[in-house]
Amino acid sequence: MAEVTLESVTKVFQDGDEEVVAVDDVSVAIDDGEFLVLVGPSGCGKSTTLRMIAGLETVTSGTVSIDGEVVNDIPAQRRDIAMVFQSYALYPHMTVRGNMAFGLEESTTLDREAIDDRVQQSADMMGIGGLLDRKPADLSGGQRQRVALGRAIVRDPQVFLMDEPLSNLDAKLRAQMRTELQRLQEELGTTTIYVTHDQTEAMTMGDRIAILDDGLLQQVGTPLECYHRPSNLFVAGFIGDPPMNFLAVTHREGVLHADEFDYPLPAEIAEAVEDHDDLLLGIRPEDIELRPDGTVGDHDIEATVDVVEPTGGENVVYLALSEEARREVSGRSGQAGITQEAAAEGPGIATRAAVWLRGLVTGVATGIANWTVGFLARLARGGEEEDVDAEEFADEELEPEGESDQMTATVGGMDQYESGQTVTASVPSDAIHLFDPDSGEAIHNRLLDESDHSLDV
Amino acid sequence: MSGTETPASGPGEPAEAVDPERERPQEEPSAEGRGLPVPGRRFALYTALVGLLVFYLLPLHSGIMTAFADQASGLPYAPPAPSDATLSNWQNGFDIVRSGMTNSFLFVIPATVLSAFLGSVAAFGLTKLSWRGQLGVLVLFVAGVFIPYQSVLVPLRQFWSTMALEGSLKLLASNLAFLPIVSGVLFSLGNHADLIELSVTHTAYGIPICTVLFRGYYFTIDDEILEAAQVDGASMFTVYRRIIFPLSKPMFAVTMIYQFTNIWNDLLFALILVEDSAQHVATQKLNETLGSFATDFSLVMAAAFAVAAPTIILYVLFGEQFAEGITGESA
Repeated sequence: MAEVTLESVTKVFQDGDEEVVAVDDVSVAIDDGEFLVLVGPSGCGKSTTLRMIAGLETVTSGTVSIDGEVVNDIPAQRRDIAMVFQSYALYPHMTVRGNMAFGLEESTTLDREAIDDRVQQSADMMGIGGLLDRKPADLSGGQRQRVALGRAIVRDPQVFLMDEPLSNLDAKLRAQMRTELQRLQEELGTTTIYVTHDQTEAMTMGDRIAILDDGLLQQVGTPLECYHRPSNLFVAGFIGDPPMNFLAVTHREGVLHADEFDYPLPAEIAEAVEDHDDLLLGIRPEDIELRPDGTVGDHDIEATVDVVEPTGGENVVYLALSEEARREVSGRSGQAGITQEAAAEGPGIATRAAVWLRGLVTGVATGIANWTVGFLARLARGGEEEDVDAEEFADEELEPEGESDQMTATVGGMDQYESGQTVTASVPSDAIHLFDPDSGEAIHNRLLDESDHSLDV
Repeated sequence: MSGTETPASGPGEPAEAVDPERERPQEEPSAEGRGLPVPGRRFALYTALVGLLVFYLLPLHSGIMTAFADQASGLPYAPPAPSDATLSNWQNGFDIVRSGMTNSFLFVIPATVLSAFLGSVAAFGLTKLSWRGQLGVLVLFVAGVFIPYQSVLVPLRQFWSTMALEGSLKLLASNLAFLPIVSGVLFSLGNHADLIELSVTHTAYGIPICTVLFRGYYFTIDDEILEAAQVDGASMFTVYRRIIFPLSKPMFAVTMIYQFTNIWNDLLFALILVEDSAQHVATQKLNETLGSFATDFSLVMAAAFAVAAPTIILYVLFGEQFAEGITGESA
């Protein structure tokens, strides 16, 4: 058990003549026994960071220390860490016992008996005691996952590193393993660094989460801190599902103006944003209160329901705000009735054939077009093979946009709304976030109950 | 090569004839209603199969029949009359090539094992480790695959003449006479110097192709497995010994069968390098059964089968791993 410290860690990959910065000046200190989740969209550098801690990737600059000792030049073999891989990376020719014993055989001087004891003990802990003589090929996905975890646990290392260990499991098993992993980590008290792209995993598992985007550390904090006090636009948009709504507004003397509404700010918030003209108004879907058409107050916005997604316990309601969008939605929901009636009679075979044919032609055409574009792009790059890790960083931006004239609200499962219905969306002023649209910096975060100390930093 | 090809297709052929029969029930429903009726299709299929069977087995059959025929009587290639059948050709043929086969084993086995092993290690270094100048080395290996035997014959002979292996070994043996066992071993090695030369030459010649074969296979092994082993505390040497080597079994079957067959059947290098008649290898001995004036075909055939036997046995023993290796990826 040990603390892990990253100081200005930077990783630059060489991609031909170009340099790709995968991790940019990341500093974070992980306490002894802490469960830290590194989260971010794909290509943000989270896996690279983990691999640098593991010693599988060299550090371009900065230092990685484990238990106070700088390990930059210590090879993976001697770092006393255990890693769980996304693919599990079990040794296919060895039994479960062999897989679990391997690390002990290579990194300790324990005798056969002691190794067998520890393997048995860890296997029982993971509930795979009965599978010790099987080969990985004979195991189910969930069992392999347990073996991979067991292989890490049996080593009793200073640090656990986990690289998206649950992403190959089905949703139900993933939720189950999430809880189990947390329980296990608490029991063992081993410092754990866990990489995921799934913000739900980050929120539910981590003592603290570190959010990365484009190689840059955005925020480190407890899950609730990051949720309620996002330091910038990216964190606000990334954490939370469905994500926070952003509306572009202009600020004039304590009032936020948009095409669709005017939003007077309470005095203390107005003071905080005094110097800003353009702002992004952020509001979490669950903070929006929907009312079937009624009076429009100061903090209310009139909207039209676009789509409703029921999840049972709650409904996710997509709202159209601008007049144009609202008209379109109303028109569409009117038509929907007619199309449904027509559909009930069943389209003629000719229509179906035509639709099918059109689908086929578009499909083929798109395929050819995509291929051609890809081919040309490859030609343009000079047909060079990209560095494996470098290509990840070409991913599209996940940056939330403020121009959207849409808003999402979550309401109770019993509150029924229909597409095309006009509603009033109430946006309480104590729940709003305000961001600087240029820098993305948070200028004002929502107000919270002062008695809530869970967020004290 | 020709010695093996014919018999090798022998065991393969009946299997081919059986397989369609097993698959037939699944095929039948779809076959109905188009083309020939089922019995007709079946007839055509079996006619074709029997035709191919005859085509492939006829040379083999003629060879075997000739080997059993008494040379003095009957037609060559036709089955001998019972009274003319004899086993003496086999006896004599085997007697002629026996010492050659022993010599062949002595140099083929080390050359096969060494070229496969060194190829595997080299491929590991070229796929799973990263170091400067890797590409250049790989290019050398690939180029090595394409060097024809004939182009190196003269330099090869000159090289080994310069090395004077036999003399050196025997000199060393006499100098180390005070260590009787070491001296004895060295002296005996000196007596087989031509075979050592042959073995080393074939090893060197085999490494490039083995490396290329292993390299393709190692690309299919997931890098994360090796990283997991590293994190588990294994050095790269241990990773090879405990992970890569055990996972390479099917590829070892492929390369070793390939190398064994190639080296065993080679005559050219043996003719160039082996002068001492006591060290003549199997292919040379077989060559010697061809008389300069009259050839006893029955004897030649029997001797040829004897020389071809080890490669056939190898295919039969390791056929399964061979198939796995050439078709499959790593688990």
